[in-house]
Amino acid sequence: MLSYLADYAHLWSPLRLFHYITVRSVGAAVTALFIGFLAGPWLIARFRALKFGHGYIDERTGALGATYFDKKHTPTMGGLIIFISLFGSVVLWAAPNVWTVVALFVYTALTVPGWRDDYLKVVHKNKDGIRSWEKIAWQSLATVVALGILLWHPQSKAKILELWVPFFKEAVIAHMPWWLLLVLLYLWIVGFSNAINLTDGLDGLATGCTITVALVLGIMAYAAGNSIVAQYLLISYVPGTGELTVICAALIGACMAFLWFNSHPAEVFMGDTGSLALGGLIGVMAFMIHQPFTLVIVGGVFVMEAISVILQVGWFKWTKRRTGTGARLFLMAPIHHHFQKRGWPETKVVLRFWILSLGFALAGLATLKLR
Amino acid sequence: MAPSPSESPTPTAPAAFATPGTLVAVGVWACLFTLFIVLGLLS
Repeated sequence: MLSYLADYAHLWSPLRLFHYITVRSVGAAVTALFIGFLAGPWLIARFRALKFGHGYIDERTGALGATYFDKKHTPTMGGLIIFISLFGSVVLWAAPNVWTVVALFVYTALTVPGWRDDYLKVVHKNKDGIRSWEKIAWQSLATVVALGILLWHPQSKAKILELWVPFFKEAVIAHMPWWLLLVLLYLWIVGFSNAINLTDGLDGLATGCTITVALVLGIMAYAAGNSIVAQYLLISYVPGTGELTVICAALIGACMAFLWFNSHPAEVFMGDTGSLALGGLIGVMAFMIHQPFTLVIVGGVFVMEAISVILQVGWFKWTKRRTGTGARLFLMAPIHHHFQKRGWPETKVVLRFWILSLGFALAGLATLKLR
Repeated sequence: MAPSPSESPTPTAPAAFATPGTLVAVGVWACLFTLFIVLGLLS
């Protein structure tokens, strides 16, 4: 909301700086980082005092149990550190418009079920967390309300119905039916929520990969919100979405601060509080800047993790039905555990997946020019 | 027979999570969020 100060530039000219998205993005990243460094140690100490660790070993980790035994008292719910940092920074630096409101709404609406899930796990020692129907209800509510706002507001109602895909110079569907948008938006929000949730299995893995995705989405949001850049790159121009760059910058700052504490050996885990909401946020932002399919490339690590689980479960069920004995494609799913079981140390898996994530991010960025 | 690590007693969390400080923080957050939404939707 500091952007309103630019209206008073005639009184004191340096205030005009608050008009620029680039300046406010830097401010947002630094502020989120600062809030994260301040709130992190306090929240972690509080989580420890409240004994917010899982306190149990997930039997699904099997032979990796020894590694997980060390982690069973590490507090979770660290997604709150990201939430506080990102929210505080965005409210301060982003100009309120329909795009930023919807992004913050989805992020908040998905933080709630994630937090409840973690709360049930760590306080009530309920290994299953919230019921699946409750999680689906929250995700559906977030999607429906977000779509409702986007279809109602004059700034977004026409633009949101366009469907763009990478490598095409124009929208492949100029005015898609609202129900198709609802289905796609729901798939993206739920899909990326669950994909980041699955990726969040090793110290720093999901956080590091989210930083690279946020970096690329931030660049794309800036391009989509700038008529000159959008026209030059032959991508969709969506007025007002430049403000999402500020949110992406705040996300980078918040994740960097969280990663400081989440790096191996982790002092805190983000838990579902962080993973569900982060997935929803990047999913809805990709839709608003007309880059939903590019997100599949940019978030390649998340997609890879989700597909590994789908393949593992599908293959197991199929072989069990045909032969009576279920076979596995991977030693363990999600795929980061497969490499751990092959003997790679945790930090090596994480660093190599970060390298992959950077590669996916650059590939996604390249699609901006290949049209 | 020694209990397996997964069956060992787990610490219980104190119930006092909703402290006055937490409630004030949530209140401030709710006001800011509402203000941001109203300004955003009216823009």
